Amino acid sequence: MKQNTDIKKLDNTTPFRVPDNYFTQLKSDIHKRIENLNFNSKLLEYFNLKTVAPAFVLASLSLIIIWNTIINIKLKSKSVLNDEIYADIVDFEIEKIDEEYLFEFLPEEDYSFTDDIEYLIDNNTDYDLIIE
Amino acid sequence: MDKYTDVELLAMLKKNEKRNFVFNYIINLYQERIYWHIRKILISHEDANDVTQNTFIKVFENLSKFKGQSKIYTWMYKIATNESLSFLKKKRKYFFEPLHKVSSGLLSNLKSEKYFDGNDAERKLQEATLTLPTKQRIAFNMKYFDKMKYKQISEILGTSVGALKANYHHAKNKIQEFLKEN
Repeated sequence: MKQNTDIKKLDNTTPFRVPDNYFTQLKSDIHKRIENLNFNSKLLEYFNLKTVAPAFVLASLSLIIIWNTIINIKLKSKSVLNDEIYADIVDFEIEKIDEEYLFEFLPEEDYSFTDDIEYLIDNNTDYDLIIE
Repeated sequence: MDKYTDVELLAMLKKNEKRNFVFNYIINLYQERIYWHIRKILISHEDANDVTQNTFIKVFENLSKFKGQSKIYTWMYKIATNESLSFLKKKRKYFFEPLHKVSSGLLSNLKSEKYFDGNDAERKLQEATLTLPTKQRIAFNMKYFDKMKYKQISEILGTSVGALKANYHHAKNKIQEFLKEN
């Protein structure tokens, strides 16, 4: 059976209801949730960005410094080894090279000496003495 | 309970130590109205209870930022409406449902709702409102059940009074048709 098809004749109070004492309970539930929220936010204050960020930056810097030190030590030991090998090769090669041949490749101003030194060289004076 | 105006409440809010007092005052004054506003949108008591609590938590969190550019009740109704709409959106996303399916979900809530005291005609009226688009339904509820003025509804929903009047007229006709057909 169709009834009350005119909206104006219908009761415009809400047909819903709530459990007994709901609104008293609601107030205390809201307060409980806010207390929890306050507790959590206090807890978070200890770990907030202001305290965590500097600690994080410090930790990152320390890590970078440690990492760099390790890398440098490794590189140094490698480069010492490389320098030693390089020096040996150069010594070996220099021993083999004819001095006159070497002079050909040197620019003239690099091996032009004063008259005194020329004299000493010509008289086969010991090189160590000339350098002194 | 003493009565305070919005201006007095705002003055108290500026003093931080009175913040909790103002919040308690607001809960006492508005909890029922806010709950019923949300309940009419969400139909289910359980959902309305969750969203009402969330609304008051939002109010508590933002109370210090409230500048008094609108009335407190308008501001709270806005938060409540937004929270309800977000709740419906989340539910829709959760179940991967299109918007029109939301009303069918609400309809099943209405059918299974144990906290419903209405007669058949009132149930039909609720079913009829569920055929309206969500925002139109909210505006209709505010006008028809809460007997709010168009100006108040317009401030809360951010819609012009003219549009609201047209919307209400349109909604009433749709409901009338639904009631005749069913």
